[in-house]
Amino acid sequence: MSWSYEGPYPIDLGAISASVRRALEDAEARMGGTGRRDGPATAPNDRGPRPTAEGMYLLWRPGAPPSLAGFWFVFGASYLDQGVDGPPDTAPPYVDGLLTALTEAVWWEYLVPVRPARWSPVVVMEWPPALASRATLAPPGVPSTERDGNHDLGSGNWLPLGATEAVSRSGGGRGGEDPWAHLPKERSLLCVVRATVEKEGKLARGRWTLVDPLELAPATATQPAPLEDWLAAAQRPVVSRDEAPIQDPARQHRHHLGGPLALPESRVGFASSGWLTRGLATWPATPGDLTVGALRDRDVGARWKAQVQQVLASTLGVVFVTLSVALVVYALSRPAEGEAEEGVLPQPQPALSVCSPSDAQFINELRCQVEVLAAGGAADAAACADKASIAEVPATPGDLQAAWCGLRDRDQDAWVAVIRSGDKSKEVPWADLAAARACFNVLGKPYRYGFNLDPSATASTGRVADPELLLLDEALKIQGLVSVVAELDQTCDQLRPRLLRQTQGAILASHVGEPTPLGVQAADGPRALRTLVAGAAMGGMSQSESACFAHGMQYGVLEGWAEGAGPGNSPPMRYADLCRRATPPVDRLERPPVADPAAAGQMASQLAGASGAPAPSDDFEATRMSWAKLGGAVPADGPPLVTRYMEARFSLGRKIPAEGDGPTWACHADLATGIPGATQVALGAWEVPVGQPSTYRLRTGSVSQQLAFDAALQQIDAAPGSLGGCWGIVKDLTLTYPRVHPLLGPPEQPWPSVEQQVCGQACAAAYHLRPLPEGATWVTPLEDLRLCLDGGAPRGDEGLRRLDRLQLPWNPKQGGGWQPARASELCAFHVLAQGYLPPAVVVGEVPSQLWAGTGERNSQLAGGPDGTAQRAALALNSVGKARSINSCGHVAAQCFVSGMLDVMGQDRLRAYEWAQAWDRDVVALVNPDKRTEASSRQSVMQTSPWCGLVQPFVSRDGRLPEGQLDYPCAYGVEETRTQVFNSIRAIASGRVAETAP
Amino acid sequence: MSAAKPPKASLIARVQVVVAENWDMVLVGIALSCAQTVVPGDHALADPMLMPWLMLCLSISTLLRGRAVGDGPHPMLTERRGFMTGALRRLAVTAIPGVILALFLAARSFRSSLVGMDAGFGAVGLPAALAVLVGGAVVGLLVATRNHGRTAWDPPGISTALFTAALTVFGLSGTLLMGAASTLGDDGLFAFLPQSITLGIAFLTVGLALGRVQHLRQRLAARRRDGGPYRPAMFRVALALAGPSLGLWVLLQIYARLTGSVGFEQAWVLVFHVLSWSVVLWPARRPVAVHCLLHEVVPIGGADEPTSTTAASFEEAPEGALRINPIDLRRTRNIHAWTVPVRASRIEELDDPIRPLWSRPAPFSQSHALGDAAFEPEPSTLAVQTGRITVHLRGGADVASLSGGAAVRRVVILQAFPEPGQPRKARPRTYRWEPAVPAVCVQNVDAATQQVTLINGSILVLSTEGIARAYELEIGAPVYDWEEAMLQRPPQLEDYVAT
Repeated sequence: MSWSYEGPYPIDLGAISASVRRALEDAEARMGGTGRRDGPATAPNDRGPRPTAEGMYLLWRPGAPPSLAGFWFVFGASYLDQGVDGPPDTAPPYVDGLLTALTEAVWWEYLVPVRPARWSPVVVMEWPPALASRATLAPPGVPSTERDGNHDLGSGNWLPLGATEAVSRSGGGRGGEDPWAHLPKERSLLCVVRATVEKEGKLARGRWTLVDPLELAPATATQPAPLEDWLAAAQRPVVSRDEAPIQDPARQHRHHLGGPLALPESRVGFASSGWLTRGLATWPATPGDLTVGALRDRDVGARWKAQVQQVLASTLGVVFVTLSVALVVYALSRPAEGEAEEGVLPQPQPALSVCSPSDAQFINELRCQVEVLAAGGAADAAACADKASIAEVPATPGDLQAAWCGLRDRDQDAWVAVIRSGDKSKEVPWADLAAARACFNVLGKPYRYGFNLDPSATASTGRVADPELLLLDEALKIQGLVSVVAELDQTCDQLRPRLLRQTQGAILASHVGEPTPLGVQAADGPRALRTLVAGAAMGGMSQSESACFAHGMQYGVLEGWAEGAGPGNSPPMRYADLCRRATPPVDRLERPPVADPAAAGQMASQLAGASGAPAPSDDFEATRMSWAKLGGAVPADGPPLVTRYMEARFSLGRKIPAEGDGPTWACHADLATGIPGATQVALGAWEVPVGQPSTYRLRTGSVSQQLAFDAALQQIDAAPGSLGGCWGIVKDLTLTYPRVHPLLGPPEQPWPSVEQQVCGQACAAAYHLRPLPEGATWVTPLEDLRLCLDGGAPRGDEGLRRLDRLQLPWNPKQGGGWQPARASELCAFHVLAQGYLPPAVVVGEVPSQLWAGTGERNSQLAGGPDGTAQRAALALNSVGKARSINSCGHVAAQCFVSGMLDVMGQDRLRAYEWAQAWDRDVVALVNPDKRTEASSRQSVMQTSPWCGLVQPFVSRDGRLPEGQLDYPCAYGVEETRTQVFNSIRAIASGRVAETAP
Repeated sequence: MSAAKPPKASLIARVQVVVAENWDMVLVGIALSCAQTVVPGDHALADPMLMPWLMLCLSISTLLRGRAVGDGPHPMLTERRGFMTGALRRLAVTAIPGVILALFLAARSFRSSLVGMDAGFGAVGLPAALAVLVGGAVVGLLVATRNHGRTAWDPPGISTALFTAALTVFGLSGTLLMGAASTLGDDGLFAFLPQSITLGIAFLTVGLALGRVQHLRQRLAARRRDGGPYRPAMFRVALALAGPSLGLWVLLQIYARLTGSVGFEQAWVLVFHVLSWSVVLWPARRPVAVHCLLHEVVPIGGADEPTSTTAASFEEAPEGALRINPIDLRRTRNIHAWTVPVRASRIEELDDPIRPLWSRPAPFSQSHALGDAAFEPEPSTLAVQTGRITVHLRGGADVASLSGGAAVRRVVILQAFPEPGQPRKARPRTYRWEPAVPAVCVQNVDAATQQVTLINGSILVLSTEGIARAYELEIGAPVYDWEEAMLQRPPQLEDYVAT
């Protein structure tokens, strides 16, 4: 089946697009029916009109159904008038209008059987022989006369015959023999164009270019290429605008013709590498100037898509614009954060009374609220005038200052009140709640100040005050109420440390030492111990706190002061009594009286090491109206200030927290409620008994020895809380106290026992055998030593009251009773046993570890029967009287060292006098008559049982009984005497201390 | 294969196109936003329900842009038009939003009175009376001007009365229902829903009121070009109903969630919303041609007496008419009308593929010296523009038609100043005394030139056989109908070759 044609359609060469549209509409009408995509309803007949007459033809490609494959233009004589002029075209003419008409006719919808994305029609422009023979590049072998004779160019032909011949001769003749002489003489000139139109997305595009004539038929072909073949060869897509129509560079500079092409009606044509202008010249100038033509892009997207896109863009644009403008307006309208002066809030006019015309009404309500809440009232329980429409509360007596401060200090324990209204709740401070309730009630419970603003709640049915609105809200707060609360809080803040320090002073005094009367300088002993410890405690305090601390140490915190009140009759303590009322308690303590409060302050300053500590002024309450109105009388049997404060703060047995100042109040609670006079004894470090007071005992602390105090602190360090909370307070207060006991360092070898070791060190310190730690002040050496002294025969119920005692070798056998050892005898035993003296003092240099022997467990005795000291004494006292050098020397060592320590313990003797005094005592031991001559006192050697054993062997002048039976014993005694004498001199010169263990 | 693609249009270019096409809506938006600030808070327009302000915006946009939502009559038929009837008809549809507002308020008040709220008789009766009165006036005007837009062909088909009655019932019932629903609450997703739906009903009512059932019958009878049945443009109907409704509801919901509340303070948001949807539903009409004028101009100082009887040196600048300065010209009284078509990228028959009733007449042929001149779409946005004429010079229709002597023909297009953004590089000078002129200000049209552009004020200098003529281009007003464009005589060759 061959290609079919449809036409001719008239062509207006000046409006090619309109001509094509008309032709397409006719074609559409001819194709019309139920569906044009199915192709023409009546397929063009291949026997129909052939493209021989002037006009445009549609080319249909065979198929089922046939498809529009291209266009065939046959130009006539009008071309000479209306044809193209040539420049500036570089792409084949007329195809632009043709493709534009196709695009506007929506070719992909109506003209092409299927819906391809791309369609490649072919366009053939034919100049018939009448025109072609006159062209500058005419088809070969056509005589011009025949052309003129056989074709009528119409009335528009203005070309004279002579010119036609000239053209034929010059342009059409190829000279020589015509290789296509066997072909018809009527030969047309063709310009074959391939085009591509495509629909890509919403755009329609088109391209076209001239087909290389040699691509259709080679120039050497002798037979014309079949019509269907060269049309099919020309129907190829134009893929790019950069595609060069003539690929061969050798042919780009000169126009040429292709081989013969078969045309309808057995005609023959030759394709050219250009097209003819109206002057029948070939254009463009050279084949290399040919370009690919392109259509203007057209929008062919679906309209609804474009509208949807427009809708989305419009909606998003409106949203974007409106939100952007809103944000800009918001940003511009925000107040700028600059360094502008802070606005002054309008301050309400000072009112003569707070929250109500009657100030008393507010004060009564405030006192009522404070009293109720301090007594443990719940935050959401109605009290006072909470249920009434107007506050009408009678005045309540009593001092509520401590109650207010207790409520306020609940904040320190993170204890807040929770108010509820409806389904909402809020946490507020207790004191603020009391003040807010009072004001809210006397104001008649205004709705605007209510919490949660429940409109259903009325003034008498549960409208709850919102303390934040009354006290904190910048616009709604009531300045008078704010001032009242601020004044009360400021006063509490000022008095809180004073009360705390006074309480701590009382606690410290109950634990340590004894008070020192005014005007007395205590160099040592329990008084000096309390002064020393108190000084360490007050080291970091302010002057006022130091004064209160000293006041508390001396007068405690339970009783206040009243003019003329005697001991035990003083009223309970109030805030007004803090740190300043001193006279009556001093009398009651049977101490030298303090003349006036100023004297008490002076004493406090003395204790604190500070001078001029300011005492609270007398007009303290005069400047605090609200504070004064919370005050009141306290009955004589009423609770003291601290108790009232604690009841308000730790209401109804609420557990006192262990943080902050809680331990102080817990200790106070223990001491205030303990059994008077009872003291418990706990075991401190080094097994030293430590007293734990069960009540305030300002006159005598539970610990009078520095050794016990150090042991207590050491024990708390090792095991916090082991001695109770009060000792913890004492320890916290005395962090800067320098401990003095030698065993403070790393644990030494506990030999012979810890108790003996402690006593040995106490002896060494008491008799200056060992220096004290740097900066330490040992003010109770004798009291510490007293812990080691004999208290009589051991009893089973002594418990932890005493340290192990020294048992004289013959105790309790001789005399029928227990003979206590004196201090010098005890210390002689310990210093010898623990190597505080040179080894030569003991004859035979017995190791000091063997001197005391091994004690029995729970015997409460120092040393044991296997000790050298006891065995020597027993041996010398036995029936056989084994008087060897060692036994006599060992007994003499105990005797002479006792005497040495006795001498060294006398304050009236200087160190350089020790040796001489001791020697006199030894002489007095030999000749008792000399005793009165030597000193007015009785040396320990006069009574020491050890000395009685060796007394017969002590020579008066140091000469030994040569040759006698007692010589070994006398030798041992005398040798010991010499060594002890040397030791005394060495100790006096300080050499022993340097070599002490 | 790499198909040439148009350059990407920038966002700014797109916005410029939108603003240029809809400058009337932009001005109205600014005016209404400013007017919002002077409306008292207790004024009826400032109702926090926002309905009065919405309907006011819609009325104004209807006045400016209101158009039927349908496809209109068959494009080959000419509508009857009259100035007075057109004005009255537009006035009638402008009042339709007011009628809808009155119905909405009446239904709202009536519903409130039913549930026990003290609405009062005035709150119900006054809007109802207004709705009846104004609605009656609107119907009367529409009936009185029913011949406006009428075409000659009235094939049988859908009944006009039945169709109109159905749409009226739909509009009335929808409005009343939304008015009653507006009392149900204003929380959550239900907030602004009745107002939004009512706005959609108003848009649709206005669009339908401007249409004619006759047009629908014509299209149904004409069928499509491919022989298939005509499908009414239901998409645009649905868009007119649902688009403004859904858009307004989403917009107010977002705004309410961002700012916490929406009241009359945000009325400007409604202005932009209504106007933007007016632009979408009633886009600006696109011109088909622009009437331009070519003023014959001569240089100032022409016909001066020569200063010397001898030839001057080439080093000396000549004086007199030889120099043509685009800003030193004066117009003669010769004026040539020039109707330049406006080409759109969009293919008209693609959007309206209705079967033609008869063969189309050939478009008028421009026998113009410059050949194929047209306002072509902006290459980047493909939007219609009427500021720049593009002339494609073809071998078949160009300046070569004027004369047969190639050596004597010459066209030069001068431009006084380069356009903003164009390069200022000076063109090479022939004589050193020539002033430096930007290259873009001079377009030499020769045999190789394929395209030239003309803007308002461009000077065309045509030299033919030793005679030079200069023309100044003045771009006039666009025309929107081919009938109007065809009223002007196309320029002919003799306009330029006559002496």
